[in-house]
Amino acid sequence: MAVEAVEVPDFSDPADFVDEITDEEILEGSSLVPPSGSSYEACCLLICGIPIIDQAKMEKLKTVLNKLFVLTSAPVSTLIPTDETGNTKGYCFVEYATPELASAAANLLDNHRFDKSHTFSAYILSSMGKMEKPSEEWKEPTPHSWIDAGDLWWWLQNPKCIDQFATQTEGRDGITLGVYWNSKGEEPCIVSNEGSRVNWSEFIFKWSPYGTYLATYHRPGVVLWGGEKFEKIQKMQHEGVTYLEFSPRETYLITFAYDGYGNQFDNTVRVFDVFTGELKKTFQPSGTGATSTISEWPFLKWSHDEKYFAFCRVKGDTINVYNTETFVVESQIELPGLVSFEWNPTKNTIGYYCEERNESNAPAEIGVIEYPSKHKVRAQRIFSVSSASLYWQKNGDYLAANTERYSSRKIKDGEIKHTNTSSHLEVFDCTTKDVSVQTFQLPEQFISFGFEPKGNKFAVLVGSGNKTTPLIYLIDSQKPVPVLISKLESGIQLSHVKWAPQGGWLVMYSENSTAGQAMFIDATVAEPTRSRIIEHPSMNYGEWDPTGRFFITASAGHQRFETGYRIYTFQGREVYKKVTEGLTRFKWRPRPPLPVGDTKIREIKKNLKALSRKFEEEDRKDQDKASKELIDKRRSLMAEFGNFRADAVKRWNDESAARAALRPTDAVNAGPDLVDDETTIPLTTTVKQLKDDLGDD
Amino acid sequence: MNLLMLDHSNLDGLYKAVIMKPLSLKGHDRALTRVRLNREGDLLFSCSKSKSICVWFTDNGERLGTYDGHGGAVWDVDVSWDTKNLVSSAADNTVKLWDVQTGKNLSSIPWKTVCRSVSLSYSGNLIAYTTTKIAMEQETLRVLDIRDSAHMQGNGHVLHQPLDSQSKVIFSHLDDTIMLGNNVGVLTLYDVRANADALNFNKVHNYAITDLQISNDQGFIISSSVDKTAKLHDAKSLENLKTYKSGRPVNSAAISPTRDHIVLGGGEEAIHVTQTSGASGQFEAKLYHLVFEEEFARFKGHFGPINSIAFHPSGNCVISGGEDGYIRIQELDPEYAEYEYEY
Repeated sequence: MAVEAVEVPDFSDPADFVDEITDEEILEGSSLVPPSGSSYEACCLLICGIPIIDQAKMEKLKTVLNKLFVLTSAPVSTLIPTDETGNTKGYCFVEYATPELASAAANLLDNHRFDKSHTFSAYILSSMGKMEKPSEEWKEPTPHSWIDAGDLWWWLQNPKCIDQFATQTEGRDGITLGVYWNSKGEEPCIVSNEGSRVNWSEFIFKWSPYGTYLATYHRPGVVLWGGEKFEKIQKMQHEGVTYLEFSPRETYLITFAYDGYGNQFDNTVRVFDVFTGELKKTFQPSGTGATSTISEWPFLKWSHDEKYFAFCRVKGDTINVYNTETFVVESQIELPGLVSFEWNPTKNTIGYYCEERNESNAPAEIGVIEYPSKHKVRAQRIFSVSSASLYWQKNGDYLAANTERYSSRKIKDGEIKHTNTSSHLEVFDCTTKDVSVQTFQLPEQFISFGFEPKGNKFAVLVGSGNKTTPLIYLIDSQKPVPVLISKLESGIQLSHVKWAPQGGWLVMYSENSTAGQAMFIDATVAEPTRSRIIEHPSMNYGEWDPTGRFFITASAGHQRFETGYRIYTFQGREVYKKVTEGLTRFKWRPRPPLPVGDTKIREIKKNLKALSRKFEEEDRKDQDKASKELIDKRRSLMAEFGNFRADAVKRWNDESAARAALRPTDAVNAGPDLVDDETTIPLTTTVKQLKDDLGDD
Repeated sequence: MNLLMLDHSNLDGLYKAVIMKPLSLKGHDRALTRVRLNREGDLLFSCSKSKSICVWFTDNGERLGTYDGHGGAVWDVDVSWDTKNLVSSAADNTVKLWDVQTGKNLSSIPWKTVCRSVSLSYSGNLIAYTTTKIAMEQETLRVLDIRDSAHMQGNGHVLHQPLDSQSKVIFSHLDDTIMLGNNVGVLTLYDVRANADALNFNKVHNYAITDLQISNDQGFIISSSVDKTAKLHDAKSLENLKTYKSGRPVNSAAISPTRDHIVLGGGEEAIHVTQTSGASGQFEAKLYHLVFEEEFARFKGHFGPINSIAFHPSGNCVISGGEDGYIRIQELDPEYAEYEYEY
């Protein structure tokens, strides 16, 4: 049904017209109501953003627009205003039969992308009155001056390629944030004069994923710092910011102000452009529903190339995918029962987990979806799953899911109880086209999981309480299930698995045991073995440095008996230890990915012996220098102390007379005149018969 | 066999040692308050929150006997240079003087409140002790002369000084001056002969001072504090010279009589002990270099904080008394004697 743009006839009364009859009289006895402006306004849409064209193309535009306008229902009338020359003005009015139809059409047409350069915004006329006028004080934003923070990558150019880390301590004079160089076994030194500041951040701090920026939290928002002098590079305004996250290539910054704990913040997620500081998008993550906050952080999941980001709401059953070119919803992937999903770290595929729906007798589903084709590459449907968690390998070759399965479930007092649970692992091999899945049951309760960042090994921590067992598996596509290559008896409490960034070595440690033990495992060999177990009482954090040369354990946070950190080599030998009062946070500065090709790496590996000789020489020289410095320092300390000691000895010697008077009977105080004299007294011994002696008695 | 050597593998000439078998003495039912050696080091005197004072042979840990008579926790003991007299201060509001050899109680000097810390002068003739505050009774420092029979019966004194905080006391120079370390971390120097204001004072710690000990030549005083440090001071000027950081509250510290070392002991406060494991409480005794302030060795043994620690006059043995009720005689092995810092 084609609808013509209606020429509006002139209904106005002539100027001298006098109404002879009132509306009431006409309507008497009739059920009709006089038309009112408001009912028209509720049915009419104003659509802005239509193309501005001349008369010649008018007919064509009308047909195209009509096709859109009839999508919900046929409009009553359409009006496309034109100016004197007959060009469209860039907006039009569409009237629908009822307000319901109008609002349905508004939902559909608002944000509709008409073509590359035109996006509609649709408003119901009656809602126009609710719009606020732009603030009188609004001014065009002035471009802020360019801040030259110097080379943002200066820290990567250290001649010895040592790494930086930042610590935060809380003391009487405030929160101190400091950035230090980690040089093997030496006292970490501050990176520059501006590298340590009191109350730099009001809350916590965060490094960007490539380490370029240091983000600090403040009540009005987030500040990014960079360069050798840590200059203020960018400010993002978000009152009461509680969480922040960078997109994987640090192009965007995502903030969230949580409207909880009695705070009155706006409860929105905001996305900023890191480079320009521009606010790209604001989300009300909870919608307008009763659930007032987001289910997890990071709320937005980014694809590895930052082309897309996606989120799902609690019980929303859909993944909403946004495109970063336009920052509008590009598509929605419907997955009933969706609980969580994760982007592949290297490809545009998504791993997801949908929980089982008992009311419709549908099993839980774990699978991999390609984007943007939305093709389910693989979907594994499993019954009796109570919970599942997803882990992508850093290289994107494998996806693992730990599923907790039960043999029976009971509903008691509205709570669901699962009994006879067992832990399983599903490993999705994404290197093959059809994605094969290997499933097996773990021997004990699952605790933690970790993929080797590159390669085909993974480590699982199983057990409970004080008896935990690290298991290391190898994925072999020829075998039906991953091969257990090492089972290590630990006998200690462990809770976390951390692989070295380059793989090969891993550390398992505990974040909540009082003994604070960590186990270093060498997985470079065919059968991984335990290298060392270290102890750091009350340790609650462990992390590899970004190159995998060192591992730190830290005891940080409030109400701990001894806060501080210890640095170990990758084999677990302690090289440095520091007790820092009030330590609350320790973070290595991340590094950007290595822009070195595989062939180059292979070449380096081949010539490792020759290359390392040079570094060993350097190390030796440094050590000599360090020990010389230490000895010099000790000498000066000794000399300084010698003065005090000389004073004391002089006083002591001067008072020998006084002392002698106080201890008149003491030979020691008689002074140097009395010398220990050795006299030899010859002793003669006679042998007596013991028996005779007894006999005499 | 439980020395915990610090991994200074990046340093040259590190001291790796196994301490010889220690003696663990159980003579007190309750927490030790003081272990004290006589000048020769052959006898060890100990007191605890139980009522008796014990004397032991340092060599083999054999107990010679006890000094009985106190009616409350014994807070401190000191022995005269010639090992003739022993003084003790206790929660039964008395300071008692004992004959070391016979164990006879020579005198008992009553006071109105609990007597906490006690020290004998160089000559052994003067007793300095501090008392606590109870109701209207203020804390005091009192000095008595053993030779004055009136003093020994509780009448008269050489010095009576009201204080504003509970303090530890030690004779810092012969029979002349007394050093006090109080509950807010201030060292104060008094002259025994002048019944007047303090000669000097210096706030050296952030929290309570738990113990004061003096070097053999009376040149330096080491103080230990709840603020997790022990500090070395010039005995005359009170100037703070060195700081030894422990990471745990320090209850006692001693200067080695023969080498440039100090030993300190402490650990997490008794009320927190149940919440910590043995390892995190750090009940080890720790050895530091006197001048470089570096910790170079520690040894385990107690399963509660160390309350009192002392060096044997030979410098090769450390005696510690713990909250756990044990006294440990820890002989340092020959390698300790050979261990030298390079400088």
